[in-house]
Amino acid sequence: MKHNMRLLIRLSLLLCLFVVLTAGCKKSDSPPREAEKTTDEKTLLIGLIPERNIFEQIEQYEPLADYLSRKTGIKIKLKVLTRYGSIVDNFVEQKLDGAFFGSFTYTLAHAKLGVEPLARPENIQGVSTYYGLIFTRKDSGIRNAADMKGKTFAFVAKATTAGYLLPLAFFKDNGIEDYRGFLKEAYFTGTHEDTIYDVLNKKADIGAAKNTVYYEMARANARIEEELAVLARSPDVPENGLAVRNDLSSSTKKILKETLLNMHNDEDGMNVLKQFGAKRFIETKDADYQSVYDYIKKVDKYFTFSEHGTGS
Amino acid sequence: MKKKIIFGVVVFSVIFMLGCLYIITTIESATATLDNLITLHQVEILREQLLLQIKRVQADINLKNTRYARSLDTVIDNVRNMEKMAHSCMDCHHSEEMTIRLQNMAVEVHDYKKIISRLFTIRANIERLEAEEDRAFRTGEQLLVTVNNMITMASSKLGIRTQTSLREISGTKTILYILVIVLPLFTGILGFFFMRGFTHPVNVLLEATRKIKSGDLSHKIEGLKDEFGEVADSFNDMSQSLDESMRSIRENEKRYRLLFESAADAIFMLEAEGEDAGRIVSANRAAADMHGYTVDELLKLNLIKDIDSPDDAREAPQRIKRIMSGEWIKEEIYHRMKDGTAFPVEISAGLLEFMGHKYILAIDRDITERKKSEEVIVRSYIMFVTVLDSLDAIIYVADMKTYEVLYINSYARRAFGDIEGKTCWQTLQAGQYGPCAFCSNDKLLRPDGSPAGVYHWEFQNTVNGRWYEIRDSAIEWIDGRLVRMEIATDISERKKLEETLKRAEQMRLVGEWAAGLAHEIKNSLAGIKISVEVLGSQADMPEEDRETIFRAVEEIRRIEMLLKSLLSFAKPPKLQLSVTDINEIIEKTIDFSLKQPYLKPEETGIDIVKELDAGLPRTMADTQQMQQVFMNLLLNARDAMKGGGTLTARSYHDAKEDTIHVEISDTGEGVDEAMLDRIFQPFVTTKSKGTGLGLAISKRIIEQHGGSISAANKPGGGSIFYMTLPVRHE
Repeated sequence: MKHNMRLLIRLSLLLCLFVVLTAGCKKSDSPPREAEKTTDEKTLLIGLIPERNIFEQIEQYEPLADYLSRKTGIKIKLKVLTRYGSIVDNFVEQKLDGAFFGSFTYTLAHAKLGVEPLARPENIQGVSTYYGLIFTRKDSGIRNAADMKGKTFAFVAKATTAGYLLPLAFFKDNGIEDYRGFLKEAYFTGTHEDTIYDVLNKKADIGAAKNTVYYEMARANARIEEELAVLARSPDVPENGLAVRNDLSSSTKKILKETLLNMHNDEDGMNVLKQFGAKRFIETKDADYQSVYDYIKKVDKYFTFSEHGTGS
Repeated sequence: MKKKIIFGVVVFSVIFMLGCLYIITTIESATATLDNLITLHQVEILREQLLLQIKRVQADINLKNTRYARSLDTVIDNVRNMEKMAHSCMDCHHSEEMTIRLQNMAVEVHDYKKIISRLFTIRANIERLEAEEDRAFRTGEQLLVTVNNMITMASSKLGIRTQTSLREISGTKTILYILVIVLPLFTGILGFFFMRGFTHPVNVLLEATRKIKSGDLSHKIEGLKDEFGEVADSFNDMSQSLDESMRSIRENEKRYRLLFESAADAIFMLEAEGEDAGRIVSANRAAADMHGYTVDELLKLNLIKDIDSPDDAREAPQRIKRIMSGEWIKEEIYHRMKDGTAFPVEISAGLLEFMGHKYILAIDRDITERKKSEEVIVRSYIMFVTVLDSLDAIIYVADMKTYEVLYINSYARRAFGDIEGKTCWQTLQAGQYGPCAFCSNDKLLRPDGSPAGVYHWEFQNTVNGRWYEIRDSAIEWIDGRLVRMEIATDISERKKLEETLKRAEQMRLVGEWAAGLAHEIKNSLAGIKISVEVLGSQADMPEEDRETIFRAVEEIRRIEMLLKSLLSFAKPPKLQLSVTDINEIIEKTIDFSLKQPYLKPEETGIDIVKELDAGLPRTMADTQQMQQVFMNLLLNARDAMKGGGTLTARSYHDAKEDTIHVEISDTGEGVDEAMLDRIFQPFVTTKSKGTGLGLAISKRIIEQHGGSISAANKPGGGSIFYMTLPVRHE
């Protein structure tokens, strides 16, 4: 009898102990050992263009930035800018080390600031380019450039390819030298997303945005496909990629580039890419932006950076 | 009982577990409830915070175009925080309705976000911008309203919730208090009863053991159940058997004490080891009485020092050593009484180990009387043995059935050896293959088997050839069996004497007859001699014939001589005693013989040596006869020394015996050893022409004088004849 009692007590004590111990334990989310890489820069400030709503833009790129921080050992901070133009104009002022430039903004940055392209994403389908769309509501009755006369046009930003450059080229191609006189109103929503929404919500008659955003939104919102009609599209231009200031240490540039290019080779990177919506990152050179350069040449007449006010 | 215990333990454990469980659950629920409350209150705060955050965002928006415009980063952070907060609401579990509301709120926040983004990104004309700002403002306000509504709703709910929770908790607390009081009480009571279930029997048992301790072995335990009942039964049995044992022990004790005290012998128990060895530990009454002390006095004494005699006390250590080695010793020593008198005791002592201590147990017997009777017996035995052994007769005792020799005296031992235990017909007689045919056993018993009386007979023993006169009788031996006791006296000498006498008688008879015959012959011979002499006296006889007749006459004379000797021998003449000097007779005989032609030295070549004791006393003897004796001896000597030699005649007086000794010795051819005895017998001669009577007559004469004669061979050759004559005065 005594024996059994003792055993019981012992067991229960043991149980309690076990419970206490395990209660205290939590699955520690300890991050995997960060790669000890010696670079000259300890933090990098990467700028983001307001391709979509600024909050979402941050949310989109944050995982990527975290991944890069983890992999390179450099703390990557993101800064979203409210204007496409700011990415170039205020690059230095904002103390940016690099940015995910739009194709147009890249060229501007490259010319003005001398940024160096590193890599750009390739989407699931393996496409690393995009094109511009000009679209309108189906019930707007606008079918061609001519119909756009006296209508409201929603651009994205002057510094965008799809949201400005390409429509200008479109107008040029359609014989419209100066849109400002042609259209009733032209304004800049600031993001592709908003441009699409504005057209959808009849805030504007016609809009110009990049196809990727358009079709992504279309997937989420059936109305886009239902109510909007694409009037024209432009040729392809490189997708938004990471370019950094060329006076970064070569080691930093190298590591960033390599990390991005090899992202798809490790599980962590794969997950981030998936979340980001890309298949992998591919190398980007200045030469890749040739089409953009061509477009610039085409419409250089309308080239000013400021979008304020009525768009002069 | 095990079951009871197990049951009890289980019950207690269950109660305990339940109690614990209840306590734990109540605590848990109470804490959970409180937790909830806190969370709810926290939620309130969160909501307030959300509100604040929204307001902050609003402020950011409002200040956007002013001097106090916050940096975009700040604005972005605020907006994002706002969203985060809004979403965090969803983390808590809400009612369905609430969840929907929250979701709606989230959507509103999301829209608000979008609008804010537009606000910052749009580049348009004033109208558009203002329109956007309005939109933003309105949305913000709407959001605030939504949130406020929710807050209000929640608050009210919260209030109720809090109340109910607190009430719940207090209720639980009350129950808990009750439990905390009741449960231990209940457990205590249960425990008490339970314990009683144990303590009561235990007490009963304890009580019983106490009773036993106090000596009451008859106490019986009753009324206990299960295992305790078993214990009780065993206990009862045990106390009973204990009681019985005690009783039997007491009885035994009494018995042994009785034995101890009533024993006629002294019983001592002594210290065996150490300096105190010999100290009297225990003594019985007999011991006290024997030694003249009281028992108490004895207990103060040391046996060795105070009771043993000094000599025996010296030997005591040896005795003790033997005892200690496990030997049971039996000794006869002397003890001293209180008054100092010493008396013999037979001690019988051994080692006694008792309770791990070594003692000597000694049983002493006063053997004064015994010793006396022993002495008497010993003395009588010695006397008896002395007598028996001093008898010059064979005395032995043999079993009549087994023929075992049971006793022989020393005379018999000398004759036959140590034959006790052996068979009589094997040792006392020779050449027997079974009981002697001549055994007298059957003559010793009457027909009814009882002893018949002494049986006399004579027998020549087959072992030593001696004659015994035997007196056998059957007697009852000490162990009751019938034995033959024989007393045998050696009568060999007598027998010899008888033989001799018989022979002498025979001889006498023969002598007488011979004398008669001789007489007749002599008469006839006289006639013949006269006739022949007459014939011879004829003158005209041829010489040859005269020689022949002369020879015949000689022969007749010879026969006459022979007859005369024979007659002389057969009818010995009476001694004519007179005081005689033996030496004189010897001298005369020698002188006379020297004168004879056949004894002259020149012719015989014999020297005669005389060694005669001058002081030889006179004695009563027959001169004539003695002469005859000496003459006979001289003649024999001469005959023995044919070639010459020395004849020695010696005489001396043995003053002690008062006897005269005469020795006639020669250096002649000696006598055949076998013949030495026989030459004194009649008609025994070594000469071719002897009668064989000379020495016989000499012997007769000497013996008539009371003396003796014997012959021996000299070591150097020759013979010597010894004569002994007692000195006889008138």
